[in-house]
Amino acid sequence: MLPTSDQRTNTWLRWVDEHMQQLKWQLKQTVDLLGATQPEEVFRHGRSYLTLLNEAQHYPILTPSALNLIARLHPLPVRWGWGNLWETQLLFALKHTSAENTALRAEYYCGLADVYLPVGRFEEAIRQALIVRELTGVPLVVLARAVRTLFICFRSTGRYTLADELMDNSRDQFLGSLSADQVPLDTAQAWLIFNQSCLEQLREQGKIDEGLALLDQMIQLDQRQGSLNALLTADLVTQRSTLLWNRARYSESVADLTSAINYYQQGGARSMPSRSNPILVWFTGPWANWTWRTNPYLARFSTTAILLQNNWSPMILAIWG
Amino acid sequence: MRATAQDFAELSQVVGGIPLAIKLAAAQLSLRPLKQIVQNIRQASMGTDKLYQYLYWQTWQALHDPTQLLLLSFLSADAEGEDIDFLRSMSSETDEQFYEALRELDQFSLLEVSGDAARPLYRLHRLTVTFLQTDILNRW
Repeated sequence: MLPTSDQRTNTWLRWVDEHMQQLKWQLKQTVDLLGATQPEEVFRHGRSYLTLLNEAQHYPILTPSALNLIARLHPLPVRWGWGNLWETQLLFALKHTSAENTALRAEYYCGLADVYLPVGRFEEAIRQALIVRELTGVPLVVLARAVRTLFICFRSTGRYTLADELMDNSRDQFLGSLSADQVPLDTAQAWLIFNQSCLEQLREQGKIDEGLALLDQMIQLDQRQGSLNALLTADLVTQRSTLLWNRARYSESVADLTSAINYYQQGGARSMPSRSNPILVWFTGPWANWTWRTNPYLARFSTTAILLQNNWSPMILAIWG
Repeated sequence: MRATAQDFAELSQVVGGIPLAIKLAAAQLSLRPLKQIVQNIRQASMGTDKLYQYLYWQTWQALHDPTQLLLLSFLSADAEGEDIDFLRSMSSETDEQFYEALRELDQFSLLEVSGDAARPLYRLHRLTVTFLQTDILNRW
């Protein structure tokens, strides 16, 4: 027969508690295991981690454990292309992370901007970046990311003058006037991120050789630091590949692109950003008609790269043209 | 345990020929005779929703504690299924308890298997999930 009212109540009382205990254990177990798990394996179970977080959020008592797992996973889901799924977790984390923890809050705001930017939600991305700039005690490197977000969003929405003003006004904050060998090491990552935007300005102005010189400096500084952020390294090497291509230095260009793929993989990215437009480089010269087909990683992002032409692509194509 | 084609035809008829209901009801053969299963369902005289609730409730009560806990643990795994190693790593039970619980879930037809032979994925039917969320955890 169906359970009586008393039976149901007793069932709920017991199993809600058992389930909560189990979730708490699973949250801790997941955090413990993540450190020893290969990136490919973490990705394979990624949807389970998100399901676990969703399930845990039914029980406020589990919030600290859930926050711990969110902090541990971030920003991998964004790199996997699951921004739409990760957005709710970031909003949850922001709702429950104390106002005093500005560094973590700034990281999550930047994470939200990273979710919004690739899908064209520019105004929302701008809002997150502006919040970060208003916070006090934010690490310089996170501030640099916020400025980079604003720069990209302004240009993507046709506000070129505003983007240029932003760069002029931020230059001193990120020591943008110094050369790489003058930059203190604790400022190096912020300097590199700031100069990513400078590079785009140089490329837009057709200053390919100046861009290459700056990129060489940036890559050397990044290597001296031990490539702390594999995705940043990947972006730099990709950019150099494009400029080398422009100077018809095809074999170096392809070598850089191959290296960039490795860095993207190291960083946990499932594909290269569409803006990197690698296939045009790969199709150049005698190599590649077969090379990109035989590289599963390249084959995976190639379709995305071609199909998801975003606001950067015309600019890159213009330079190449 | 032997049952005639006529017995199973009767079981199928009493649960309205619904495959999942047949599977859940048939899984109870390890607990009680077929005639009693059929009789209980008839006496309950219920609609489809209540039929599932009844079948799941009967099954839930028959499960051992570690099996009930393992069943609930599927709520926090990918709804498309997870592999055995991951499920094992997310269970605080001993190896023996875990595999025995998994076997029991399979015995009661509560596991859906997808994926491939190299990496089978285990998950719950959507109705099983709903039963756990509503009747066991009182979520809605």
